[in-house]
Amino acid sequence: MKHLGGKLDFNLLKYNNVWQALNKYNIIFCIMPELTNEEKLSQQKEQCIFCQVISGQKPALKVYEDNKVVAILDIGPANKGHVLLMPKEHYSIMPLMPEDLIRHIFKISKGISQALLKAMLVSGTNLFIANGGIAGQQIPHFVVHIIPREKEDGVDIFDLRRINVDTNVMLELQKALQGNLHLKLQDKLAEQGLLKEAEISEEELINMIKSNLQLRDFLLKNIENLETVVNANPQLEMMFRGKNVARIKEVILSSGEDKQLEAVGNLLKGKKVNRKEERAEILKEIETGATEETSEEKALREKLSVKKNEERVKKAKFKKKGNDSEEPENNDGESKFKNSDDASGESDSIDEESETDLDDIANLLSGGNA
Amino acid sequence: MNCPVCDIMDNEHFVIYQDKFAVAYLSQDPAVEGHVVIAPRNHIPILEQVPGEILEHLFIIANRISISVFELFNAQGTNIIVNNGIPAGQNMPHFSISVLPRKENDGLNFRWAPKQISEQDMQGVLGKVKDRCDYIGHEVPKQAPVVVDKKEELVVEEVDERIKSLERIP
Repeated sequence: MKHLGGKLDFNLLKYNNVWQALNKYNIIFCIMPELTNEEKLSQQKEQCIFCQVISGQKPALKVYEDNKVVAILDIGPANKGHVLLMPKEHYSIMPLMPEDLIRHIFKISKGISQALLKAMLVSGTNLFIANGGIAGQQIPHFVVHIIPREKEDGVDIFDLRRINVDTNVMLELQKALQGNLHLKLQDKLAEQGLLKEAEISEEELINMIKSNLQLRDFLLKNIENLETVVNANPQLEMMFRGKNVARIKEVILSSGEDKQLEAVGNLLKGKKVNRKEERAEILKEIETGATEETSEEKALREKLSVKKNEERVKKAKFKKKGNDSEEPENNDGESKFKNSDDASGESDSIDEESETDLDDIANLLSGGNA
Repeated sequence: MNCPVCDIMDNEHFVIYQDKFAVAYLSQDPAVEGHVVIAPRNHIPILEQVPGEILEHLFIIANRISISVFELFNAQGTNIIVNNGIPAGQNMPHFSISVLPRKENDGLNFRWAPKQISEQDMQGVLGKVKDRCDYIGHEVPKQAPVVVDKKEELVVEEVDERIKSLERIP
């Protein structure tokens, strides 16, 4: 280090800390690697006042404690009886916390609010959460402020002011938030069975009922009191909400009497041009797909028939050879007769062989060779 | 009863999210641009009356919305505020949670001047609040534990008399 001394800028006060200054000159880099996120978090934990309170290093006025959370009285309270409720694990802001913990914290904060109403003999409380320094967070450890409130107690910071926002801006905000929240809260909607059913249109519902035989049969059985059945079942109720039940009823009935095609035809007549076009496209696809399949099948058949023909020829040859070897130099007339018999009976035998597996045919061939 | 929050739910004014238990909408009297209010679908006036599961559901939604507004408005922070009771600034008879996206110099300030409270007062508050907080998660017992002691004494006396009578017979 000595030879670097002349180059160093010793006015370290210019920098926030010594490490920053030394990093500038690349002196400690090889010895001290940059902090990883985990190390930063552990450093933050060490410096966190609330973590010190939770571990017992710092004294505090604890009012509640369980295995997940601690509640203490604020030393610089906004009002008498100001409670801070915090998780024992270090989380800097609410979005970083697991949802189980959030559930637990607000269950307890309800209890503390109730306790404050009775203990402090007040008729109101404020819950206050700040995520981020700009929102008023002073210590990077998530905390719920629970503040007892009385009339004319001079704590008026939570009385929200009103500003004017243009309705067009509001509409834009609404659109943006609606889309974002639909994604963010998808799981909650799905839990309550609100996700898909809410988007289904009447035609889609009818098509769904037609394609789902179980559902169709169920609805057919209860067709007379369809409304009551639908209202009794929350899932069905969601599906049928805002739909023309009478029309759906008709469609189900007609489809039940094996008049599905007619119903589809009637539906298509009443539909927009788009649906017709879609239908036509689908039909085309099906047709072309079908022809492709058949052409492939044809090719396969041709290949198979060629193979069969080859095998036929080979078989016939082997049979002839076998016959020749089995019956050597017998009456020529008889052998000729037999050959002709074989030739006439060939078609029957080949029909039987065509049903046997290719492996069997191969075995037969090898046996013939031996 | 005329409840503005229930009206908003019925008319779906600026509603941005709704399910069976909760509705979230853009506040009609916003404190900042992007002020969102989350309320239970049923008409419940104050925090203490909200059933536990629904309260948890509401705050889970509030958390997700705070993430959402944080991203959409390029905010630098968020506030989640519940004004519970008229002295706390509640201006509608329906429990609600406010989520506010925050930016620098947005005109809001939630910093309070700490109240000076003597140590004696603090200890008094601690005692009172701690006693009440002990009951969180449990039902408050209606009978004082002294009654149990009396019963035990009575039982002891009865036994004593029986033993005495048994001793007398032979």
